[in-house]
Amino acid sequence: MDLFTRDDRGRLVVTLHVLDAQALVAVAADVRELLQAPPDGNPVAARLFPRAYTDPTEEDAEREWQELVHADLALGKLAALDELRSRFERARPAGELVHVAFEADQEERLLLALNDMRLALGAALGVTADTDLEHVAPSDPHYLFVWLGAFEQELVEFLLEGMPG
Amino acid sequence: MSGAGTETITIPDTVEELFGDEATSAERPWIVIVWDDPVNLMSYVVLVFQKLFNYSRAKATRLMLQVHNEGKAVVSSGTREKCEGDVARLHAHGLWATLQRDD
Repeated sequence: MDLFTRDDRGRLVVTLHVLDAQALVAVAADVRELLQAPPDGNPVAARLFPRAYTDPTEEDAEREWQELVHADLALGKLAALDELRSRFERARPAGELVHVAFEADQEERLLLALNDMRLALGAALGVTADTDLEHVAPSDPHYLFVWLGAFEQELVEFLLEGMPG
Repeated sequence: MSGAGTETITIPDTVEELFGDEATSAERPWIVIVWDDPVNLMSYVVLVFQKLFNYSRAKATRLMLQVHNEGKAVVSSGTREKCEGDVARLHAHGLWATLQRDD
């Protein structure tokens, strides 16, 4: 089974087992909650909405930039998560599989939502470069993170094949 | 459009007079830095650099490896406004990016 293919209209088609599609929907819902939690001391918000300026003398520029950008950035991320959820929730299963087709703009938002889901889970779990992600048992809270990583990796490789060198 | 006229044009003596602060910021442009993080996939970072900056696969890969190996890389430069826009697009794509003056 190919996870990712193109249909005759050039749309990205994602094929998932029903249970995996349900897991994806559940993670997207969880991440939505994490994103909307109060920002203070929230590692997920800190990771998904970082500062633009590191220089402490640029506090004014940082505040202006956040005022200009933050609301749209947050809305865009939430909308992409909601779109992913509704697309996989509404998909009618064909046997044990679901097939969901994405137009070009939807395809872009799918990738961004998936990536944000991994960033959010990684921040919530405190994943670092030293975190051992080999041999993670299905009962381990890192399991979904690893599974999402493999899923996204395959999607990115598929998309890179269709991009110019 | 320029045309034949009778107005007297005062030619500035210095570049600073002509461009004001703009000349200074043109000499010291702003840069956008992408920092290493433990979660983003290397392949995803390459894809984002290609997509946002139209870099070739080779250049995008070289920048990604610099981020990975050295902890950060300069991925674009220009005016403060351009760099603020680039940082916003990079944050929308989940990359950890900041801007600063090029010292």
